[in-house]
Amino acid sequence: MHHSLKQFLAAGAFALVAQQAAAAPPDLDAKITIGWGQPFDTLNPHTTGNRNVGPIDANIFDTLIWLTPDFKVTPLLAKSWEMSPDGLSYTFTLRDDVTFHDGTPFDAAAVVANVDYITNKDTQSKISLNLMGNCASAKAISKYQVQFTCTAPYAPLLAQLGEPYLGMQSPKAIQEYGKDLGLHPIGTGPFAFVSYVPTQSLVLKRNEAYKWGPAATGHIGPPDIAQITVQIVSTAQARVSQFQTGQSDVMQETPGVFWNALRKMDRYTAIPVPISGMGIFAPINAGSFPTNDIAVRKAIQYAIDKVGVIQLASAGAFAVSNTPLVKGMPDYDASLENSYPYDPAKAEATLKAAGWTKPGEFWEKDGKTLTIKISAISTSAESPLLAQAMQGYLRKVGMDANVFQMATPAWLAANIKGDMSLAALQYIAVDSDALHLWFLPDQYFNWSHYTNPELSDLILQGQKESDPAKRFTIYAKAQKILMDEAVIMPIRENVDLLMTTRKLTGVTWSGGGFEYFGAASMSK
Amino acid sequence: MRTAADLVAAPKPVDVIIDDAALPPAHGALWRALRHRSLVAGLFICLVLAVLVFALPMLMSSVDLNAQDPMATFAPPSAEHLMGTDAFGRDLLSRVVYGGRTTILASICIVFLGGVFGTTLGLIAGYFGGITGFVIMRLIDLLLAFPGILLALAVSAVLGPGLVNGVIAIAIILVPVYARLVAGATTEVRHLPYVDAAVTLGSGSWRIILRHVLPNVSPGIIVLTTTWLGVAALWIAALGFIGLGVQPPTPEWGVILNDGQNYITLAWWITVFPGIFLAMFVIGVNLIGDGLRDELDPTLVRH
Repeated sequence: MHHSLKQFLAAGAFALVAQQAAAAPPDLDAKITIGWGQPFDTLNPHTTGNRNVGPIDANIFDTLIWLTPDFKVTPLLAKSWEMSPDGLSYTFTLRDDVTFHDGTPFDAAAVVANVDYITNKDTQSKISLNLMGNCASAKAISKYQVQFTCTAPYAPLLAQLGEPYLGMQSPKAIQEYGKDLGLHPIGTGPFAFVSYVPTQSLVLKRNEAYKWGPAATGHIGPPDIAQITVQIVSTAQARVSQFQTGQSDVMQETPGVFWNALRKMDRYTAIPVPISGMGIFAPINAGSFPTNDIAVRKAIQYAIDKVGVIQLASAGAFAVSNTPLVKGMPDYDASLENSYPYDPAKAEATLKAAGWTKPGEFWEKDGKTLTIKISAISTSAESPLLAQAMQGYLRKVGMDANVFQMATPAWLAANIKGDMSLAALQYIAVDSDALHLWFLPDQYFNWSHYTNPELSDLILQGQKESDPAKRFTIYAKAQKILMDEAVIMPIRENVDLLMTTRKLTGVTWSGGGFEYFGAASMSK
Repeated sequence: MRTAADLVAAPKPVDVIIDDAALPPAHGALWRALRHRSLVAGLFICLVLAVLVFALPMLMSSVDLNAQDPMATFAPPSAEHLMGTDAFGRDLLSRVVYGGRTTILASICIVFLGGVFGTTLGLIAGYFGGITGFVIMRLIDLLLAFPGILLALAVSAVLGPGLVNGVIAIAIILVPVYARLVAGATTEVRHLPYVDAAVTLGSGSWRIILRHVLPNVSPGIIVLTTTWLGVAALWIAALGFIGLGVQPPTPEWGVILNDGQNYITLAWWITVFPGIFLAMFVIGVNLIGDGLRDELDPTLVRH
């Protein structure tokens, strides 16, 4: 009894000292738990369609290059690279000291196996195939040299190779597991897979052999963290309670209202992880009534107070976005910031000028009511809130706005078909070429149902241009068209509100906003 | 010449006789019912709720229950907002009160629809029996094979979200419940002497079903209805809770509860108030159901 009391006092004293010491030694046995916001569709980086799988895969799989948060291309699995003068091929020289978690050596043949896997029709790759753009073929030119060839110059390739969706999987695992690959993620990354119970939890352990980590993070060698348990806690309140009671060390997707409260506390570190690309935005359906009328599309933009929407949907925890490509993207254009200031009177004037009349509660034209259909994903925490907030503002100016809450597959189908007027959503990208998925004709995500030859031309030019200044001019023009035609309504910046215990330091992310724990450490 | 059938067909004298005979005991039954504690408590709770939910809104016609206010989100209960405000800065009291209309009316519609269809099927199956009864009862068994809420979920997933579809979905689950009970009771009553007498006198089948069978199986139906009224309210709330029921911004107790669950440690009032109301309604109708069961069941010992 006496003995244990002494021990207890000693331990307390030690804890005090540790807190006071500026650089306490990291706890190399630290096991951390992360409260994660959403379940994974699969852990296979090449077939997932989720932004939320990206950060997990970024810790299991390495990419050829490491993209810094400010979009600098730095070495990771590739030591160096070279683009041919015509821009039609890229040659990567790979590290020769890398092995996968299952012991398979990493070499040029492994890269080729990955590219072949991604481009194989049976794989049904979505994001990954898109990220390779015009350069979806690779061949080994020596044991540690691999060459990508492109059908047309494709400037975004290097940056996009840094997204976790192009992480390198063990060729042996690809062979062995087939359709079950998503349950057996085997890469070369800082953490190796231990176990996974879908929709519940995922356990990763330190890769003891890891010495090829991204130098740009400033951490050398295997991670300090011994084990990571990712617990999927979809209910926001449950995730917050889990974190507050100390059952988790990290909380992802902190709800805005709790973010505001918890960030003020000394015990916690608040890390807003910026997710680049197009932010949270709403494509507006230019293909069907009533949003096929440009006056209606403009009126919607004037009618909605984005600050108010953010306040209602997420307690004002985010900044407004007014441009198709968000602040921080290389081709962000500040001159578009004031395209549509909040002005309900102007919204009504715009409708009136276009021949709409308001005999009763709602606007009408040719006997048809101005009915706006806002779609939302019923299982998402924020999507229905955004939809309702926008609905409130549209109703205020006399638009008959209705919210349709649907499960994800129905939501996708309705928007692809063009049954909905608008939907608030996110799109993650590290290059301006993201626009091609949303605004080229016949693209899966052309939910604006809008085509414009001039715009298509600009987007295709942008893909080929590698000079940053010229690219900026091209994308500034493209974004100007999008805003003038009002086929997209930017809403807010996209940020993953990450909350960690103060004891955890060194949490960082790769360009695009994919959280990385390979350089993190827990103090004792 | 008057036939036996005419005697039965001329309702007037028969009715008078029955009424005269029934009056004093009926009076006694009412008196006895009013001394039944749980019945009175249930009636009282439901009366209070009805006043709050149906009369109170008339006093606050000026309140816009869908008006959003970014500056007033998550306001705790105060003199201005007696129940506080929700995540959209809307007055929770008016939403709970109006939401109650949705929930209560929807549950009444559910038991009405389910009750009418289920009872009809049960009467037909029980009275006619034979191949008709067999087919109906096997179909009912088929419906009963699914767990109730699962069936409701599947049906409303097929029909699409919305209040009306939700009501239909839950009413479908109720059909077999009523049909089973009524068919059983009807089979029992079917061969009692007074039914045989009516048959002998030449009454038509439907006439016998409506005038002789239905009144005698109705106590069970009444009790079942009160019990299921509460369950229906819970289920419509459950559908709302998972986004398949009422669509925003229409208030409904389940939807408000769902909205509140993500802020429960921060803004308890959003969950607690509609929760209390929903619990009161379910308890109220269940107490009434208990009381009615005691009063209407002749096999139970009178107190």
